[in-house]
Amino acid sequence: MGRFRLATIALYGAVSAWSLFVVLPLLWMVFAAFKTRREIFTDPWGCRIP
Amino acid sequence: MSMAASSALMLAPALLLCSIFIFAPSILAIVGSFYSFGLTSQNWVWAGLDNYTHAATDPIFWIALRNNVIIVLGSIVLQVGIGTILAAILDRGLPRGSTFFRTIIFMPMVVSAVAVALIWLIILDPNIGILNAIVKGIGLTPPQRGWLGDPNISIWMVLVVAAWQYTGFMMVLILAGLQGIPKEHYEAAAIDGAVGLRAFWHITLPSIRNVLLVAVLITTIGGFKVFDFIFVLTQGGPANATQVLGTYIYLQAFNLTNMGYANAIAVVLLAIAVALGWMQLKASRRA
Repeated sequence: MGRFRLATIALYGAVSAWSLFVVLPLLWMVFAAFKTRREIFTDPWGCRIP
Repeated sequence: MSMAASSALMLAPALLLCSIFIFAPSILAIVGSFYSFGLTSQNWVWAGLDNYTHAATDPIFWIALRNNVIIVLGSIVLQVGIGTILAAILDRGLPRGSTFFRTIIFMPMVVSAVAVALIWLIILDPNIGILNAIVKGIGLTPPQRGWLGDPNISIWMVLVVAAWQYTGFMMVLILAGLQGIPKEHYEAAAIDGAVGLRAFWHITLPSIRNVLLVAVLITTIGGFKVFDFIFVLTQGGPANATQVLGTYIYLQAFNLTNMGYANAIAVVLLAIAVALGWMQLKASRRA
């Protein structure tokens, strides 16, 4: 049972890791859409939604 | 109206569109590859096979072809490999949340390649990019010339970007194949003691062999035809490190205005794509 649980957690970990890798750049794209060109280059990772 | 006449009438619009947008440009490219002419030139000078012999002795053409092969092989390993693993996990490994993860992982596929390249251009930027910040954060030194500025690294970064966008598509394709495997196969295997990785190796993989073949062929054709995000990311540089046939055709045609030579390279690319497309058609019929 413990081994089965560990395997399930590992599988969730793997899929979540790839999902994060996929979703973070997309989220950045959405946030960047609310920024000026200047803000993108001076504070590219800051979060600003009007 | 006879059956033959009505069939011909119904086929006519599709045939007309194919003739205008596929056959005519292809024939024009093939004819143009035997001439020497500029982008706005009125005079086409007969060159015979000169453009093809030029390609055979042009080192950049071979670098571009080699880069295409690297992209094809790397994409097969990354996209089909990771896609298969993710599909297998989502098919049988997770008790819940499969649909959620499937949607997220497929999302980059709906974004335009140019937008994807622009996102990654910022991520990989040596001054403001987050990859540099992460690498520095874990105590390592990022490449001095940047991830896309170092000729030894840039092609691998292109592979990462391609994998980011297309792995989701491969996963969905393979997942469709996995869902066609009858559950009884796994139940019978479980009785014989084959579960987990053994079941994956002996049941899952052989059952989706044809789907994997189609996935590999789609990736191969895509790898040879690649242009858009390489053009935005690196324009084939630095020092031709990411030059592929697509970007080299563009360079020859629109920057150097060697339209005849560009056509000859395009015809080589067309021949490769047609051969692979024919193989894909045969494989998909078998699948």
